Amino acid sequence: MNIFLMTYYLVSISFKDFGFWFWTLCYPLLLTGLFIMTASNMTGGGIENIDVGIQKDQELTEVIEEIDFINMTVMTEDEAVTGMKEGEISGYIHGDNTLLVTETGFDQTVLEMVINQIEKIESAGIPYENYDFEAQFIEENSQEAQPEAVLFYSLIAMIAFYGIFSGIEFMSSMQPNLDPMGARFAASPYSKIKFLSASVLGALMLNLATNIFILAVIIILYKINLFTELWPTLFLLFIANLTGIGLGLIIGLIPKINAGMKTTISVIFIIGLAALSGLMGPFIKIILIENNLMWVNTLNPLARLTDTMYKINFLRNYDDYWATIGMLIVYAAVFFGITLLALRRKQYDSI
Amino acid sequence: MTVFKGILLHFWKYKILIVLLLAAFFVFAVMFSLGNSSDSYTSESLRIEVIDHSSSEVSRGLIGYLDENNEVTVTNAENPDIEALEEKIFLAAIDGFIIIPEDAESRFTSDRPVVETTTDQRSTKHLQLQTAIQQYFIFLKADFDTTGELHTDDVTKLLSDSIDVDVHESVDVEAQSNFEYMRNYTNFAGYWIMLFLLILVGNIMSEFNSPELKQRINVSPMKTSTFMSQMILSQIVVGLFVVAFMFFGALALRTGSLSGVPLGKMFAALILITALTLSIHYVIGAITTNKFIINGLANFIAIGMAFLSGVMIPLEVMGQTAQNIAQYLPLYHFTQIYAEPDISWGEAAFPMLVTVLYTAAFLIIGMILENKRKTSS
Repeated sequence: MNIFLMTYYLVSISFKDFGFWFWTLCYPLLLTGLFIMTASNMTGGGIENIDVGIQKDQELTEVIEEIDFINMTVMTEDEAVTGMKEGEISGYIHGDNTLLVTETGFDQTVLEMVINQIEKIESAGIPYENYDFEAQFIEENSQEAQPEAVLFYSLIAMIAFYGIFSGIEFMSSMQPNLDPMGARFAASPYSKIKFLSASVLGALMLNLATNIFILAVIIILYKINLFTELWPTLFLLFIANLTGIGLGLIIGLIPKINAGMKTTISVIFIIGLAALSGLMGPFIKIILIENNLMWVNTLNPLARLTDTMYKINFLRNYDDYWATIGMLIVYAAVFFGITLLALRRKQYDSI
Repeated sequence: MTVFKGILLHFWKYKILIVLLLAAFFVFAVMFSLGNSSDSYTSESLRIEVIDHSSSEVSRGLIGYLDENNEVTVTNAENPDIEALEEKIFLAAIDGFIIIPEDAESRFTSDRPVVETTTDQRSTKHLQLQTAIQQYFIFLKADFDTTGELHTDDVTKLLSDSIDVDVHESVDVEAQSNFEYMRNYTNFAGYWIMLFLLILVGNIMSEFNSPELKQRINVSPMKTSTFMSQMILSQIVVGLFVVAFMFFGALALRTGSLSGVPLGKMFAALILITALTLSIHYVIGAITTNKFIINGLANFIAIGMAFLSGVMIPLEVMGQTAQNIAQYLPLYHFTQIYAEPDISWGEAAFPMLVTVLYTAAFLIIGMILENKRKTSS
């Protein structure tokens, strides 16, 4: 049988499989909607002024009033404590220039620095006219922090690896001891390499189609511009799909476990890799960076894919683009190689 | 107790997998809640990287001053990887970086900008960094203009000796800090327990519910109620094992840092979320035995609820729609059981009741669906 005809048959089988559509299309679309709903408000606001309470006739009243980014209100200590606990003000200046707070935070730290500066001007012994408050000692550049974008890239990386399910399905249906179809196939003269190639080709086509559909939904429907470098991103996803299918083949090779349990292991494994790459938020990624555990994500194909996607699309940084592609290809080659070796000349005494 | 033992034996078959997954989940939960405890007010520190091309008195002074209250990493590399630093800001792994040029000292004396900073200008951390640097140079310049000499150490000493910041007596900082850690941990443990139980119990029970086994159960003389109670009991045992692993694991990790933590409420919350998860599993099991659908639903329900209930990302930073939806989700009420360090059992009773009601509702739905399935078969 022609390899393309076999591919067509395998695509038809997957096309009718609800599980396939759920994992590769419905689930990612649901998650995308969820992320958009939760992440839409995470960044985008500017610096807000700091609200502060001050005791009546406190000596810093006039100076604080002059500061642009501080909104000051005269109040009693009891009112201030209530206000702080309800999040209406960040601190309360009272007594001998003491700052009263109910929590630690950046607003409180800035207030502390401002009051400290006012106090030190008096105590430093430097003539007041020598202070130049208008002097600009800093050249400022901006780089926006958008950690929430990592969620989306990690999700797309996870979807790209969902070829894993096709790989498991293929291996389960190919092994004579696990599936009647495998027994029939083992008895047929059809080449294993041809069957494997047709299966990979079919899975690749379907997965890429669903990947592109999801990207289109994100870009067109949700209007989120995550892919400024579309073609390089698509090429990355193409390679990642291959690696995902290869990973599925390897998991499918595990003996004595049925396809359902292999799928469960894969779901948890992929979620774990995705969590390390930033699916639950970038904090786990940051913890790894801070604890010199970068190697974990250097080896994690999902993290490499996530990192490279946000680097090329957000930071226009192609430094590790080819390294990531190379690594994914190596992973895929190893997976396919082991699969072929394992399937080669396998014989069964009885099935 | 044949069914009870049978189901537990089925779980026992996957003991290594269960322990491995639990250990992995536990590590994730610990990572999720990492943080330092403190027993008094501490200024919020910034994570800054400094590229010092100058290595002068001015640059050393600035670095020394910033290092007093912040986490500063200094490099003298000639060609630093600026893109890597920008990536760290993008990920919020650092708050900004400072480049001190070679001619920093002459820039300082000739009233030109001395340093170059890169930060996210929309954040309060940007304001904090700018205030700190400007403050340092204003004092250094005033001192220089007065004395004609650079006294970087004196300025650092002067500014580092900060004003008094009092934490109001009604706030126990150490307890608050301990509570924050355990709250984050419990939030995440709740999510993991949900995901773990839905996926694992779902898959193992779908094997137990295979048509061949079902037929044997149907023709056996065992009453349905006995069968159901043994099945539920075995699942409860597994659930309690998972809860105990997560809860006592955290206690072992945080020994000595548990004052002010409502441990009883947290334990009750974990038990309730386990019961809720098992009831959700009952509904899913009544709908399907297809493992693809079980895994998919489990995954989506757990991750969806965790995101929308403020487990992954604090609710305050989400949009209003998400905040409104959260209040209708059981995982949100689970987090409210231990929402405050000093929450009383009376205050925790309402979210506990809501979680119990959700559990009861899912059980009823499950029973209706199960009966429908039986009738149709």
